[in-house]
Amino acid sequence: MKHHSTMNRRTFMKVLGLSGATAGAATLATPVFHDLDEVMASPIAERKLPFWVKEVDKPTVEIDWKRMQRFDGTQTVFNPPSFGKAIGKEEEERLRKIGGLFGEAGYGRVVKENKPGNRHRDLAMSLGARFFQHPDRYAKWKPFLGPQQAPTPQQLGIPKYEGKPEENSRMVRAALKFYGAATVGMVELDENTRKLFYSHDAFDKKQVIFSDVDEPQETDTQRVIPNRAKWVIVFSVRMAPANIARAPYPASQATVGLAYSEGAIIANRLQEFLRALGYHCMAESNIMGSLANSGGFGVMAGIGELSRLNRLITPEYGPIVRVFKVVTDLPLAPTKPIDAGMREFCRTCKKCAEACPTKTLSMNDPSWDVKGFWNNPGVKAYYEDAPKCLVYWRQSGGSCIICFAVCPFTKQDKTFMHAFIQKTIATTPAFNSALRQMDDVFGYGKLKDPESWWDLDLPPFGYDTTTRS
Amino acid sequence: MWWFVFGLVLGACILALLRWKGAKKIRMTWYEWVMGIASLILILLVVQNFIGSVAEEEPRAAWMGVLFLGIPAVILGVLAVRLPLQRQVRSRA
Repeated sequence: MKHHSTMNRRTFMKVLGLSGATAGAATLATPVFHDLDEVMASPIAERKLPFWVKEVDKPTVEIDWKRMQRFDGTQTVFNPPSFGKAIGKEEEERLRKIGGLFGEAGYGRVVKENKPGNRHRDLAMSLGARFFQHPDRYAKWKPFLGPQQAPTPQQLGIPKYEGKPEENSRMVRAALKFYGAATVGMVELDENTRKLFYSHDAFDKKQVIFSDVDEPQETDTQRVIPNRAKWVIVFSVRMAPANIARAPYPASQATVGLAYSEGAIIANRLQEFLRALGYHCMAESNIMGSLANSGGFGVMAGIGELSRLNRLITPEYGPIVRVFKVVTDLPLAPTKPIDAGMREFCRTCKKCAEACPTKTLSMNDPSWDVKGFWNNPGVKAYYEDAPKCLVYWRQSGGSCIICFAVCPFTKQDKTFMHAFIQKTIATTPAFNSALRQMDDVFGYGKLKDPESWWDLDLPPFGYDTTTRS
Repeated sequence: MWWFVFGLVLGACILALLRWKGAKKIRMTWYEWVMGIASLILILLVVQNFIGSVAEEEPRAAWMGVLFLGIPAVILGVLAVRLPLQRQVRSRA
């Protein structure tokens, strides 16, 4: 789907630094207006409609407000007694037996027929997508175990889904992207990668353990992951570039929060999807890092490279993603780590560390030495002085994310230049220093006026899903 | 839409240039063709970078693109037109 431009005409002209709509390229953008007042006075300044859509005083459907009264919701056919009243009690009983209230009793029958488009995975994908359709039913689920509302194969009277690991990975990736994930990777757990799981939850302090149990369990003190759950699915959720550019103001915090919220609900969708296929899927009880290290699993799954931010930088979206992980017993084909020259670029760049208002980020080369007890050793990293960052959050009454905003990899792909430079960085590190200088000369990394955010015409979630923008 | 309009304008310009070249019986060497085509590619890149950078809210990057790519484009374009013209004038003289 093609989205509108992320800018309205007014902002476009403001950005260009032109006072009217008479010069050069701006003329192309404003063919019907003579000055800014006309633009702002126009309904288009309020709402963008395609040119063939006209606003009318009355809707195209005829309404007689005198005849209409408020309607009783129980009389809609979604209310089962009302449905019975409409089609007759006997027929309603017959349909309920074969289809349940909304067709769910027919799921098993349809899947057994195994027809194209109606296979087990199709049903599971749909169930995962719609689990939150009735939020009133899900008030008290444990995020670690998932909503557990989708019918399992056992409940449907069908065998659990079986596929080759490669097929399963493809299937999970397709479902996750549909649910809202930007990029997806998989890690097969071994004695090393298990170390990326926290021993205790950061927030409720519950112990996270692996055990020879059949089912995942959660008690008041523990979360138990079955040993046969050997695969971690890692996925990223995008944040809005225009919001990140308005760091450290609430506009930037909003896109962080939205991505975290989306990540949580995407994980729930995945849990329901895998449950319907007959597998367990354990997610984080608190999406801000209660189960495992996001950066660690992101690196191992090849979602991105560990950077000077001591966070991931992805080749697709730079650092402006949030990274999530779930663990499952569905066999998956692991994805390999990646090298796009980004970590090497960090060595000479240092733009984030220079811009950091609290000097939290390291200006030195990567080191095995941790900065404090808050760091987990064993990685040659740009360890950050994290408490300083959180002091800033508390003092500023918000958070920060300036480092993400100024990172040279925080680019949209609206100009060819970025892809060209990214390929140069990946293949020719000798130019890294010069490219960092060019990033400054071209004016990138300058934080934007937070007030101007309200004048933008952004696509849903603030990013165009058809591009990296 | 931008690219559609730009394509129309560019196509018309190229057509006019080729007609003018034919009418004036101007002969171009291979390296003049290379300079002309390189200039055209650079102009396209300038326009793409300008529109893209403005859409990204990066006006400085837009104008720096004009500077870094536009100047070589103009130089190459002028050379591609001037060199065969001068040669023609010289041969007539």
